[in-house]
Amino acid sequence: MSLFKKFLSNARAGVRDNSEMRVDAESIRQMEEELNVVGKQLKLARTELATTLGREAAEKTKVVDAEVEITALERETTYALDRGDETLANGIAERIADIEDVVAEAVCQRNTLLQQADNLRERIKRDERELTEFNRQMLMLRTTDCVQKITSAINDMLAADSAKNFSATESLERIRKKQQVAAERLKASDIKDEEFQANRLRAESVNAVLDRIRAKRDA
Amino acid sequence: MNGIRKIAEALSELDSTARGGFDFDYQIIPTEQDVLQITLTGREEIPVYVTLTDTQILCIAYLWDESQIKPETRGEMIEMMLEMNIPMPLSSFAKIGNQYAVFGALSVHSRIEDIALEIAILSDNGIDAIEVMSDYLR
Repeated sequence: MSLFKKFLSNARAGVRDNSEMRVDAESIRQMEEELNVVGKQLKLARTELATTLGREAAEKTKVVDAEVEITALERETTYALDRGDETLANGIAERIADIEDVVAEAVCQRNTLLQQADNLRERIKRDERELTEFNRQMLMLRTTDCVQKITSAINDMLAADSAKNFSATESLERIRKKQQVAAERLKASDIKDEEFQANRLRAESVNAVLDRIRAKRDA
Repeated sequence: MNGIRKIAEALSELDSTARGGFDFDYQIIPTEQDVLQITLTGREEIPVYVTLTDTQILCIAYLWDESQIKPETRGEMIEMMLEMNIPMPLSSFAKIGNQYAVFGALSVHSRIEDIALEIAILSDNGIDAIEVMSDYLR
């Protein structure tokens, strides 16, 4: 069970008992510990992978060098056989056989190391996924903790100021009343604007009539 | 954008349009966790609280607590809240302890205009939610 799920189960039990749902320091400490362990595992696996790949590269070099040496020795053996020097050819062949044993061992060792590297890569992937998951759970715990703390602080603040303690429906009613007053004020101001506008137009119209009559009289 | 104070400063520098036509009043609540209380003019009863976590900016408006619910309608109310959750823009319902709330979560890298929009819409959503749920409340 994830730690966050454990925390939520405990918290729900707390709520049923009418006690407060809290993220306790212990949950966060446990999560930090888990994160720490997985982080260390991951670091170790990465170091092991680097070491294993280094050893594998050394074995590969060993094989390549040995193969070059074998090729050269095979050439020498051919010369010896061409010269009819069976003893020399035999001696060189023995050396080649020894080197081939070393190559076989190195190839075997290299294959083992490659297998170890594959296993380590898988382990690293698994640890990385685990680390991401723990980090996500840690964030969930911290966010829960944060929200609980601010809720508690706000509750304390509101409890200290009973004048601000309204129920949701009372709050809604008060807000709606304020909105209504503001809307009525706006409407009254619009009516005043309309009246002012109408009076202005009327005055303009009267002035225009007077101007027209004056102009006719003076003509 | 980092720190509650910086958010408050940046919000106060925005023009009214970016704040959805509202005037915001700011108050930092002194607590272990930095909280900014934002009161929208005319809606002083339902402030919006803004806080920062490791990865998010959380905006919360508290609505009512368990004691305000008509017990016989509680199940119906919760179902209605779930149904309203998706249509409600940018906010969701939540329960913290015994308190019901609407909240919005933003990335800590959000633009200040997006935070302002979230606050204005959260306030609208809070009022709508109370109106819709008022039959279930005492």
